[in-house]
Amino acid sequence: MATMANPIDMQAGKDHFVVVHPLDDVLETKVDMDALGPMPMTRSVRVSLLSLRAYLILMVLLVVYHVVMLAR
Amino acid sequence: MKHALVPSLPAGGITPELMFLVIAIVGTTIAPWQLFFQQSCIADKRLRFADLKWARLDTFLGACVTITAAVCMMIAGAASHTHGFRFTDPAQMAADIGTFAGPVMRNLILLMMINAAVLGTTAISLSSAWAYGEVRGWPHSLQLPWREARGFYSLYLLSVAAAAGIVLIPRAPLQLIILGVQVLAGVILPSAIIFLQLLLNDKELLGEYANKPWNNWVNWTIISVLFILSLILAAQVAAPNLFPSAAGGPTT
Repeated sequence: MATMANPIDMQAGKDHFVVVHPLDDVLETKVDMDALGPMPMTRSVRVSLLSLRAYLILMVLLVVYHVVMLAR
Repeated sequence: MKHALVPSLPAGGITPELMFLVIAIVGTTIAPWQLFFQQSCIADKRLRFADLKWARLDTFLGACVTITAAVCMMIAGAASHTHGFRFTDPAQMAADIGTFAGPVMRNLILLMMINAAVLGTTAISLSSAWAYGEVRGWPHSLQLPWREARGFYSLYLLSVAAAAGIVLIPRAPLQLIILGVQVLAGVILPSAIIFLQLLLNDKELLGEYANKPWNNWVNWTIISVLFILSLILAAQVAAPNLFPSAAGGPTT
């Protein structure tokens, strides 16, 4: 017989199986992002991220402008 | 049949409207929110590498059902169009189809629309709440009771309410809003996939599950195509006369 009882509280016997469910796992501890400080980046990574940010801002503005023009 | 299998440009060629529609279709098929939803959902269920096979099967079956429903809607739309109906929204299309295919077919299409609406409302709002909760460091899990994750659940409800509120605005151009959001998803998508690509190629993080060459080939193709489409759209909006309207020529 399979059972959903907490596997910590019981031992596997001959007449039943222990179902180990992921939700019974101990919760992971999150890393404190503020304590990590700024991420070390090379110049090329920094330039790439800035370019990506500029692309995103530009494209969002452009799509909004185009939608407003179509709505008129 | 030939036009169903062989891609061709519609009459009028590459127009801003066509680019807009193509990016919207790509943006809604491989939506950026899905990337965040998928990882948050896996994390929320606390799945392990041992569960990867079943998680993949789950995703595959979901994709099959979604694609089947999308193909059925396209066939229904084409049938309605063939019968001479000109519709601007799916509810109108369902009513048109009901006149020649019967009320059962009409109700089935309306049911699919309701299903899509419920799925979109819950999944996208949940994805937003998960992502924002992660960024703000709030407790954010459906496994938690309300009192332990108030911010997460409040944001989830707020997102659903905001979506419902927009739909209820009198005389709002809903089709244009839907298309605009889909295009926004399409132009934002490449940047989200780039970060996903970097993570997927991190062998230290994923070990044997890191991307294979064919995965990278597919992903970089999608990123490149979307960047090109976005730049074409940008060029067309900035300079509407850049591409002559008959550039592609009538082919349909």
